[in-house]
Amino acid sequence: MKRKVLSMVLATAMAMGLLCGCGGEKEPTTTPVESTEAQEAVEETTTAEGEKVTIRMSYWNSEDTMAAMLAFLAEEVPNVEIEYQFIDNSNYDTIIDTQLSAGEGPDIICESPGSALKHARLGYLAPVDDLAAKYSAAGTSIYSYEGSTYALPGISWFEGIWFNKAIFEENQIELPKTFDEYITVCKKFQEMGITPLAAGLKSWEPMLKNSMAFVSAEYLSTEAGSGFGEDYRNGKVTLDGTWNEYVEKWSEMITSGVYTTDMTGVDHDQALEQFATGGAAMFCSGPWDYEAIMAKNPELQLDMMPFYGTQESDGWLIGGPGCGFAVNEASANKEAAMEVLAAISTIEGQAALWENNQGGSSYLDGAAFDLPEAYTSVAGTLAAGNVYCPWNEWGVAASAHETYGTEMQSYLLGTQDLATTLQNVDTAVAELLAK
Amino acid sequence: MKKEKIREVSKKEQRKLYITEFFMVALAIIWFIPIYYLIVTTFKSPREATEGPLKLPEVWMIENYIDAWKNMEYPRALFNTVTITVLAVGIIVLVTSLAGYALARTKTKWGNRFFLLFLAGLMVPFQMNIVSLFKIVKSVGLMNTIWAVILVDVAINVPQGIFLFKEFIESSVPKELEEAAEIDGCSVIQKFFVIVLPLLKPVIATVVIIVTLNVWNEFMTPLLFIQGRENDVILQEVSRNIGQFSTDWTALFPMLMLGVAPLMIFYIFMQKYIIAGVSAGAVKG
Amino acid sequence: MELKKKREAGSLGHYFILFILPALIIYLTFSILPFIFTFIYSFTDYTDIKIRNLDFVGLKNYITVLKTPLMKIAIKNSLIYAVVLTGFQVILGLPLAVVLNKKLKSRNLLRAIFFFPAVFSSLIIGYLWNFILSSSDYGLINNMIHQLGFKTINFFTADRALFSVIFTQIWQWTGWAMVIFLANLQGISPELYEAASIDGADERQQFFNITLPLMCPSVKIIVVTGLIGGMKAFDAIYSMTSGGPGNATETVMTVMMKKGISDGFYSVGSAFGVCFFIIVLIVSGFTNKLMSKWSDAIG
Repeated sequence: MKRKVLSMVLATAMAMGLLCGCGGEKEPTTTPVESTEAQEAVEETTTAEGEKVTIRMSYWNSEDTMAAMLAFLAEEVPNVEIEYQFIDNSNYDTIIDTQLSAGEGPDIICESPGSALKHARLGYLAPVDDLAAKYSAAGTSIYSYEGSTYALPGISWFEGIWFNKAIFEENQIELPKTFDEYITVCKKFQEMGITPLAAGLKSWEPMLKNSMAFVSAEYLSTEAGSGFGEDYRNGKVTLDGTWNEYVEKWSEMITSGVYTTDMTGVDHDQALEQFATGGAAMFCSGPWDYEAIMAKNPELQLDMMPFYGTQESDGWLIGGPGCGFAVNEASANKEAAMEVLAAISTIEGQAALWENNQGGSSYLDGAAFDLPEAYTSVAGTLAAGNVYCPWNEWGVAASAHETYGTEMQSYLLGTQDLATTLQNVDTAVAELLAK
Repeated sequence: MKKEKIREVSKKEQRKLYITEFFMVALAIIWFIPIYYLIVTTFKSPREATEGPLKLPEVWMIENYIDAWKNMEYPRALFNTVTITVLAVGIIVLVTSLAGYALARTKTKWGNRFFLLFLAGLMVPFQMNIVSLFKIVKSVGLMNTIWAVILVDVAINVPQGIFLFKEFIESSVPKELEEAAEIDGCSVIQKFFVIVLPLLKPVIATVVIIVTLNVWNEFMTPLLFIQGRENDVILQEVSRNIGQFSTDWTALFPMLMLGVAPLMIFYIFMQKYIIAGVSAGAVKG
Repeated sequence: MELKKKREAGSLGHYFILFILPALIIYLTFSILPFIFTFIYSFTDYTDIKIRNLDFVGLKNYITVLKTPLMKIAIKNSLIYAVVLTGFQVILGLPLAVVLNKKLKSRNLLRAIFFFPAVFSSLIIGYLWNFILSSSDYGLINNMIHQLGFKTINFFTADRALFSVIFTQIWQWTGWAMVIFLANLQGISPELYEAASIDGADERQQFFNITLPLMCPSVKIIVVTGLIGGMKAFDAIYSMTSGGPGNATETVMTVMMKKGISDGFYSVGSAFGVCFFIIVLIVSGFTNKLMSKWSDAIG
């Protein structure tokens, strides 16, 4: 011990440059390596009763989309302080995965169905069965693994086609009821010199959702296609050979010039701006963009229509249960985290959550909200329950939907044909399933 | 006769020089446009920015900056960035000057082997080791502290630092001076701190400049090791705010500007030294 | 005391270890150790859902790497990125340095401006250029093109995206190369030029006969560091294209992040990392050889 102190003093003296004069030789000093364990222990014991506990909650959407709920929680669970951690979508899984695998990570994690399944399998998440009982099975089933539920479904999300009512009315254009009518509408706009659809194809998301909505309407919702998700997850079928004819038909979006190659130079925000300021008649997105659009142009007459198949129907929306709230099994503040989840699982909690996600629906029993005006034209679709997210059924291969999106970009740009595109997705899915 | 000819040549040369200068100034203006565009756009509304991207703003909108400043929690992020940079650069200078000196003065097989071991680091992209690096950081208990970022940044920059110090000491610090000191009875440690270190000022400046730019602009290490917002750095704040859906796009520019402003100011005042430092480091290598 | 006597004057003896120890500890812990782990993982079946009791799988992961088209695209793109960026740094940086070494009145200011972009993070430069190159009216270049009445130029097509990113990086790093060339130029004795002009060599001849050969050391630095840095590039691509559209700008680093980390193929990612390391070794070894041949040829 004494030696250690001595060497520390020596090291300090050295560092301060006090050894100016020349003299005899000094003993070699070793750098003192201090353990940080003691420090950690101190940190962990500060969770005494009565004191405020800080827990971390991560999500890939901005803090604005949770503002009302965070305010609600601050009042409802005063002994818990929530530190909201936004992580960009493209890094989200990476960061959460690495943190969880190191026994770290946020206390409350917003999970997509695919990652929730993976994390549950690895034992990273605490089961939340008691609270899950308050929700409908439609919301909790995709967060279940081996008989337990590991995340509570948030307000549902859905994506449809926002449209500028004024542009439609001024040009006397009727809302389409089928895919072919939709293409005709787009062509009419093009003839008038109006961009029909603003799209930020620099991102892989728009074409993923748009084409999958068509396949949902045309195939996945039919009797023949209803079992596709399960079969695909079990490696019994492939996209190539099954989806070709539908995506081929959908490709009219490209051949008729609605989606253009130029759009790969535009990102989401720029497309949104173009639509909001009247530069395009339509824009595919969901409730999460409502406020941004209205902020850019408060005068805009906004409505949303669904995607259609070739047959007349109530239309389809891409969507499903929103991010699932899960509790980190390794969290030091598990109880506090559960308290927060319990507060979210009340009618008031859901109302607060809904506040910034208006239009979506809650899976909590007894929680129902009126549909705002901006969703008039999808009211029928929502009432029919035609909201579906194909890749949510892909199990551990769900993350391959990103590959689908990027492969569609290559398809749009003409670097590969449709069969290759679908094969590449199949390969990525197979790899993930074989892991 | 001869004299006249020289004068004539120099007149012609002079004219050529003017023409060159004209073209270079024009080129520099073009070169500078992106930065000018960044600066002017920060003061505009979206409409104004699309109507005349390169015009000076009609109304200077300072609000953009106030919002960006608040959204980025700028003072805290700046403080973290500065702390990380100062500590990392300090440690790098200390440990690599020591090691560079030792390697410069040890012409044995082992000295050479160690030098090669350090040099190998220049080839290894640390990103290829992220998974194992993360485990190590966790097991030494540094997760979510600025020390994780500092130490990994130090490790990334050790090879370059050692290389610069070794080359400089070999070429510019005379052994005779050290021999004289030894005769006076200096210990090795004293010799280094009292005699050698003061002679290293030029290369220290070089290392400080190069490493400061590296550490300040490093995005991946804070991204991986700092989870909480309280410890994050400016670049994280920029990417965080840009990554959020549907931010007003002219609001992004002040964030970019705030992201580069500290280095911009640093550069404007120190450009002579920075350019000299960077080039000194390179040529000695 | 005995040890001390053994020491040669000016050398460090057993102090050698003490001096390199601090650097060595940090370097071993945070650079070498993770590298060794990566190497070991590359022969196992480590994934995000199999993190314990790893099995040895031989070369399976390496075969996967060689068979995955995406990884081949990534390596190809990284090589293109590194070679084109480095090439332009030299081709543009050299003449720039030569001109800015002349007695121009504004040369200090000019040097400062050309070097300016190199000070900033590639991440932020990427975000900035993202706006400048956007196809929409918010993009500076296309905005001007539209105002002149021409059609949109999309800089992010499958063919152009990679070169658009490289272009921004050339803008950012040419100044850096220029500064290093300048330092080299200033070390060339003016007497050589005086002698040459007495011999009647014009400026162009002087450049090729005197300047260029003597620039070998700095060119070597730019080429070697540029190639290695280019292959490791991540920030600029991340902020501009994230690898898209399609796979057009996927590079080693973006694929590593996606496949090796996000998708949880840790062992395949490790094998990919090792392959990448070998390629970097070959490329830099090759360049080194080439460059020393050049200096031998002059020497």
